[in-house]
Amino acid sequence: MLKYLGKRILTAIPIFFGITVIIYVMLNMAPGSALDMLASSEISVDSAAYDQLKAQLGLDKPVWMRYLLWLKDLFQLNFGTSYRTSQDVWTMVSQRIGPSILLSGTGVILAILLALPIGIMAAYKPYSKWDSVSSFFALIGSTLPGFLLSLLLIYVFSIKLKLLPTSGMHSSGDTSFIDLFRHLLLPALIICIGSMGNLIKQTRSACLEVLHEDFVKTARSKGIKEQAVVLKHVFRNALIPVSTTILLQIPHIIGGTTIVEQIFGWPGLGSLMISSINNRDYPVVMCVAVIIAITVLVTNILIDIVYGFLDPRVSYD
Amino acid sequence: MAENLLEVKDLEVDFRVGDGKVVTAIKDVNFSLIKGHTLGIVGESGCGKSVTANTIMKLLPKESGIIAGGQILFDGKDIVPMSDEEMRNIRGKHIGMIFQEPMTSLNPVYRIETQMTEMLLAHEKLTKKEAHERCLEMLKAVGIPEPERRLREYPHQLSGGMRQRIMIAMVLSVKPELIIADEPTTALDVTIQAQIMELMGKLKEEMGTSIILITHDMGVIADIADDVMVMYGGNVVEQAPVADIFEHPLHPYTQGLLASIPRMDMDVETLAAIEGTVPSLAEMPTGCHFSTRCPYCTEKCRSENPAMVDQGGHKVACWKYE
Repeated sequence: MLKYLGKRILTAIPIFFGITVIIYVMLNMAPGSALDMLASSEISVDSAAYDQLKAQLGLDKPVWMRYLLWLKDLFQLNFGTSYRTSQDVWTMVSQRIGPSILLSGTGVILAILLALPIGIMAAYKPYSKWDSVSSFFALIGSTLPGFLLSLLLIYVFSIKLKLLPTSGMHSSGDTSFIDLFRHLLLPALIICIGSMGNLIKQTRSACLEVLHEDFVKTARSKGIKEQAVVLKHVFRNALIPVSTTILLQIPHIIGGTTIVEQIFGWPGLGSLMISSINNRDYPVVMCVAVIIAITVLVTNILIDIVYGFLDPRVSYD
Repeated sequence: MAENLLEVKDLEVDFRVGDGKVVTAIKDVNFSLIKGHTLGIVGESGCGKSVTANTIMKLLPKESGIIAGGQILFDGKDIVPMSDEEMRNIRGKHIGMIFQEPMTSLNPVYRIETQMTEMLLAHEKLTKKEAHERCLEMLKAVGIPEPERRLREYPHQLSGGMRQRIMIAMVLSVKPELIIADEPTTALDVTIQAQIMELMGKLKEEMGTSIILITHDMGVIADIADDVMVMYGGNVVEQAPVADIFEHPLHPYTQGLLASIPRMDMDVETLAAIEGTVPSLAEMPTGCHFSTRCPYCTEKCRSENPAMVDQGGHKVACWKYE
């Protein structure tokens, strides 16, 4: 197991650097540079100030050299300073991680708590009410875009019913939990509905498959409670494929859900990413990209570990 | 007069097949099992053997299987109207079941011990230690070497024969009065088959358990059964003590089955076979179900299904003996 993990981590390292190369090069190939964004507002092009700014940001060097310099800083855990605000990038980014985890985490955990029982019941009683509920959410979750649902819920709950705020994380000056909860509710609900559809479908089909296995009949023939048959025998086996879907939500939890954060003005990583891309603030974009890349790689290794725990037939030796 | 442990009367089971259509899987099934005896149920695939077994356990698929009529008297009590709750006390505790596929009949994610004790603890008040001791004892009884180690292993670490022994050990651990073995050796190698059948015979003697053995292997029946019931197309076509069946098979289907067994004492080039296959449930003929394949088929056979006639303990359903 340890040997296998070591191997997995070793192969993840070149993948990680590959990702950073691709993102770095693509960002620099994109039309418009940070310089143009700054220049258009403060300094005119072709002036001495422009060239000075260019040198100051390090943009006078060729791309490959800039990448190597960026990499050198990365090894010292230095993500550089923002082109736009001249703040330390890590300070900017790190204060966004908490809100992202709070929002997406709430949404995803809610989705898991709702989707697993619905999925199990839908498989256990096909064509029942549970199954209709399951198809309804699966359909909404996979077809209704998040932005449309966001606007719909804002219209109903914030504008018409005036129950919940439309954006932000706190009302100014209010740091109470209730206020935070009121701000959290709508965006978390949208993330929840978005992840629920897939999770219900996965749970339902995995349970349906296991329900027809011989050992489920064996379990019934033992004379144990039906609830134990479903949870201990059916769901426990269905969890093996379902765990992948659940764990794959982790990068979303860390990386935030860009569109929802943007619409609700939630101060998370996703909205920071969008505004930094708009401002061509590449050091910030690179930092967020690095965080997301690491989470995805770690999650993939985590999935293997969890598989080994859930399925005794899996061996890493 | 020996006491009947199980009596099945006029049992009919239907299956819903979608579009509101219903097909009859078994009909007019009557038989009884004397305490301590072994009843062999034989027939080709699709004859209703497994449906009969699953009906006795009430393990028919929930959405589609319906017990349309009849009684199943176990120890004098009819189990057909019993609730799930009441059935749970019968399943495992009074009637144990051994399945065809030892490779898939055990849950792959739990250790052998967990699966065995789950059954024990559902029916008996035991401490963990007592349950563990009982498991060890049972594994020794079914001839598994290193029982301590096997209890800690997962099903995939064991061979098919070993798993079937564990199923037998598990089922016997709560000492049920009846064991239904649904083709317990079909999926195993020939040498292992013999070992498993020998084991079942031995344990049956020791524990006085009654067995319903479902198989399509007439050789296995000759070894272990006291009585034989031959099923075809969802009907019982012949029923008699084992010696009678082998010496004077009455029903053309039984004769066909016996003729298809290879025999050492006869020098024949080709084995006899019954022409054709079992018709599907939806296409069952209106007369005798075997009429489409029977060499003695008459006009009457095609139009009317014969009833069972008793010829001195040897029952047969065929117009030839009317």
